[in-house]
Amino acid sequence: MRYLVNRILQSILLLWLSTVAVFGLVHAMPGGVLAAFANNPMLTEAAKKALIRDLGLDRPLITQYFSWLGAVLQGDLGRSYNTGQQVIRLIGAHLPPTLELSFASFAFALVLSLVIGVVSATRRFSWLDYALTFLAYLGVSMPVFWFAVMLILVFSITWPIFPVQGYNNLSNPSLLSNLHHLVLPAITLTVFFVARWSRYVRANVLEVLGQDYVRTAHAKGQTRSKVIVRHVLRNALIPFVTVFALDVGSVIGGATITETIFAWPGMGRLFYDSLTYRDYPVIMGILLISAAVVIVANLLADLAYTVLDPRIQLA
Amino acid sequence: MQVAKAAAAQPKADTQWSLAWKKFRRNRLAVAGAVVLIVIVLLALLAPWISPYPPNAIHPSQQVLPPSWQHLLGTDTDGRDVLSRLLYGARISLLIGFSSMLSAVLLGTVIGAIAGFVGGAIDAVLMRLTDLMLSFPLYLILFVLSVIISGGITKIVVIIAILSWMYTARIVRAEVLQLRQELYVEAAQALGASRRRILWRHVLPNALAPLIANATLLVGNNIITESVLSFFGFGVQPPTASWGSMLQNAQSFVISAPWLAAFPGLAILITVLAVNFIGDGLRDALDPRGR
Repeated sequence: MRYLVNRILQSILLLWLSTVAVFGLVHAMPGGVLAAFANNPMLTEAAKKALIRDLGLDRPLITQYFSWLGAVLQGDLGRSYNTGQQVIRLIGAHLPPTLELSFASFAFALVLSLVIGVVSATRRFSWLDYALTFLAYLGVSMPVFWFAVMLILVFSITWPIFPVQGYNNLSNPSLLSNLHHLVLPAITLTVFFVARWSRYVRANVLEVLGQDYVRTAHAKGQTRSKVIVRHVLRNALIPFVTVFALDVGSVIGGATITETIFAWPGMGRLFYDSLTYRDYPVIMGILLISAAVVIVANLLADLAYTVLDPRIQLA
Repeated sequence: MQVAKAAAAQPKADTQWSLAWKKFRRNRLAVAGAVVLIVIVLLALLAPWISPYPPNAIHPSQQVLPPSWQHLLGTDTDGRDVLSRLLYGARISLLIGFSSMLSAVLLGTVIGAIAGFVGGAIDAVLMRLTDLMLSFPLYLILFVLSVIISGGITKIVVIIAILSWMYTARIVRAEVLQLRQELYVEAAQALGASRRRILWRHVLPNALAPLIANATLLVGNNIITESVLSFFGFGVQPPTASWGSMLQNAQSFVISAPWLAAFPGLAILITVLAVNFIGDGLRDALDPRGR
């Protein structure tokens, strides 16, 4: 119980620190908050002054921070400099594509990693294990964006099976067309995660396979598959929860690279575009939300860890 | 006295490292990785002598030529020889990969050692800072920092180091905390050994196995991070060749000139693969539990 309270307090502290970091970072950007307007020739000196006053930029930084924090706590992330839309709405509009892409890849990656991890571990040092291990190494060793470009090259250009970019058929949008557009970005992310996760699952399964209770289960005469699913997998997955939660958390903030390359209109793409326009309210909003998701995911993973494994008693 | 001490210390240190070396040598993937990496480093060092063309020489009449005997890997959008740029690019990419690893390890060691030795409020502050750094998705913060910090290759090294010291700090801190309870460290402290001496004599040698493995993997990760930065236009700027900046140059010509995108990517893949094989081989070889 004390651990629980401590852990939650720690997360709240981290959340607050992340607001300071986000505010500090964005204000450290060259040109400051006004960079987005700096190159606008229509902006007269008087209009600029009015803008500074309207945005409250003439106040001391610490006052600005607290008024920003106060607004954030009420769910108000400000308005985009670029479109004038509320940042929270803008993010809300870009969240579904990110969720769609991430959950599709998570689902595939999770299933594949489990299968690959178990097969590799139970047939340790077989040619299949070596082949899967090598593939995982390949996946970890290549830049994601390059793999995405190669996928486009092969499956959109050499053999035009899938569209190069985009989210849907613009003139005739449909679910089918959306899924068609989803395939390549989802493969990119899936490969990225499977390469990491499958190694982790393999190591954990190997560890559990050596435990006494697995031998006992075998000795009781249970079938091989039953032992794997009931005893091995369940226990091997507990440490994996942390890794999974962290990766899930960081991708909700936008699979920046994948989304940018495939012009997938999610949070990552929005972030990249906002950075190009120096659209600070949007940048701050996305940074803040993604950090919050990671912190909460981390907390939940730690809590789940203690619930799933009764042997762990963190005082 | 000095001689006797050295003689007594010698055989133990010798067997520990020779054992690790023996284990490493038996790992065929790790050895293959080491050979490949040495070849790549040699090619990078020898770039001025073995490049068939100057890397930045522009030839408007020879733009985007496919691979041929004249240009083994073709030419890019400015008629520059891709092979030559790949060799020169190796210097930049490897330089960034290794120097950002060194900076990150140094930074992480200092932060981890301070947190572990001083403890209390300073430890809490440094560890929350570590948590905070790990809370932001890597690429979001990478792009933001590259907008804030300006400068050439040094800037890229600094940014990558700022974003990759955290695990080193955690490893060193954990080692310090564990060792502070060891009797021989207490004895050393009682004898008046300074913290710096304890750090060098006891903490770092003990933490060496995880630190070396982690540092090796960092080189690979950092080479990839450089390529991402440069690919999105935040990193190495034209006309300087790095593997990432070559990929950026290739971006709009993927359809008409696929070799422009393929070769730098393969160079990254092969190098990072080699580094990762070495890193995992080192981790297994140096692991005292000997798995």
